[in-house]
Amino acid sequence: MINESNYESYFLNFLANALTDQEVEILMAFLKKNPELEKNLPFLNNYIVDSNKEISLNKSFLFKSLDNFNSINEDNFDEFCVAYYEKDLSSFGYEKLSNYLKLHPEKLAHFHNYGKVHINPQLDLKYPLKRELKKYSLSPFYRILYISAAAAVIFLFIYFIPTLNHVNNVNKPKFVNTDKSVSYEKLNRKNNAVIARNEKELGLATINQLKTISTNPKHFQVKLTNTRDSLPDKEINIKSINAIKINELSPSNGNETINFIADIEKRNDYKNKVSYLSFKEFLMRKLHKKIDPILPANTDEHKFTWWDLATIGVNGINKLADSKLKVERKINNEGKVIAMAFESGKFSFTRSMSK
Amino acid sequence: MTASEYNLCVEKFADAIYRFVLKNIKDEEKAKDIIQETYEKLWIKLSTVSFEKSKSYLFTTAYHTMIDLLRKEKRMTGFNDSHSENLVHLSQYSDLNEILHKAIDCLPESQKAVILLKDYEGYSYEEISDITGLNEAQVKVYIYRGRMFLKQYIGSMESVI
Repeated sequence: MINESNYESYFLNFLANALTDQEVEILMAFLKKNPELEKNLPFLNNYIVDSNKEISLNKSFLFKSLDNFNSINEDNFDEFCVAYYEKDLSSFGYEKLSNYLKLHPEKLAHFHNYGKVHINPQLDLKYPLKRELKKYSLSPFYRILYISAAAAVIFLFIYFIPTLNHVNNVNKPKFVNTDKSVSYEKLNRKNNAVIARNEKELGLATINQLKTISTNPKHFQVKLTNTRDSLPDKEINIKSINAIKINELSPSNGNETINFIADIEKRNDYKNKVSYLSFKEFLMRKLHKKIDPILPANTDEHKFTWWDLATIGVNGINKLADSKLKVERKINNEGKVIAMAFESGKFSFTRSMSK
Repeated sequence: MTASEYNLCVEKFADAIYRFVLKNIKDEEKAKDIIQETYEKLWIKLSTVSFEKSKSYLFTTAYHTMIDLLRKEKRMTGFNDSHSENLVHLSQYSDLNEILHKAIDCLPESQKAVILLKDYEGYSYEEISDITGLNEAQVKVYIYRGRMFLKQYIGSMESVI
């Protein structure tokens, strides 16, 4: 049991960290009852007992500042000099140093030497690879913009590859008289209608407009339309007929043969005669093969809709940016899009498309 | 910290850290590697390091990366002969700054680092303590010893010149 006659041994054991937790508690209780003893043991104040009963030495009392020195002498002069140039000297220390230097002017050179040992950085020395260190991150808007632009370029590239590769392809559609060379065709005039006949290419066509183009009644400007049921108008692409030169026009006598000058373009029959695809169909088929992995399912081989393009774009972005964007549409029984949904990893929204 | 703040850190601090590291290890390629590694670490911890503390973080990371490298190299060579050059070629230096730069290479790594942090960047004892992991008292002691050495070095140089 701790008491006034044996407490010193407790203190010594305490300082030697030789007390058990229980004995420390007894000691602290004893000190509470006898505060005058605690005052006689200044070292005890340098120990901190925390709530976990861990004891550690408060070392702050061991530290000395330059202010603790009563005077400057040979032994501590260097410390004062260093502290002065490190701006670590108190006003009290500064005063002491000033007085010392006044009394010992021979030490001034020594003192000033400490002022010379501060190193200036070589400011002309620059890190040469700053650009490589920098990171250029884009805002989501610009990121999507740039990726879309990249996707568009890739898309266009893929789109035009077949064109570039097939300029001289034998599958190229054939045109007739595309060189604007003059061709002579025969016209038959019957009653008030003039029947044109392109014996080689066009089959029957009717002149539905006959206009005097000069005071010379022998010159007319005409436009031909096809009358054959099997060939729609658009498939006989008559570019123009410049004029009809009527060589042997006499007052209408029922039938006469006249020559006319025409540029005739025919671009339809190749499809029937040869099993070629149209230029557009050909490109579409090529394109489908190229971008098949990112095509939406059930895409018509011969055409793209805006939805297909959007899906391709989104799939392209997913491939480039390793993202998980999705565009989906909901179609009603009539095949009309009634709603669309956009989904990313972080958010999604749905929008009704019906008016 | 944002990406633009990170880039600002590159612009503002890369030169200073490079000077500090290069002065310590005297090898341009290794210094560049250390800077690169330091900034990589900052980029990884971008969300946890604030811009205000970025300079301190960069210096701390660069310092420790550099110390690790130096220790590894020391283990590999087993001998550091930097101190053996002391005062060998004194007569060829006439400029005080040049002499000081030569002198600082003769200091032990820890003293050299704290003095460079103090002189190059004007860090306080407390900040140097945070960067190097030394306590303030140790920092003061290292600076004191370093200054003493430098003063003696230039004193002996001046007498030679």
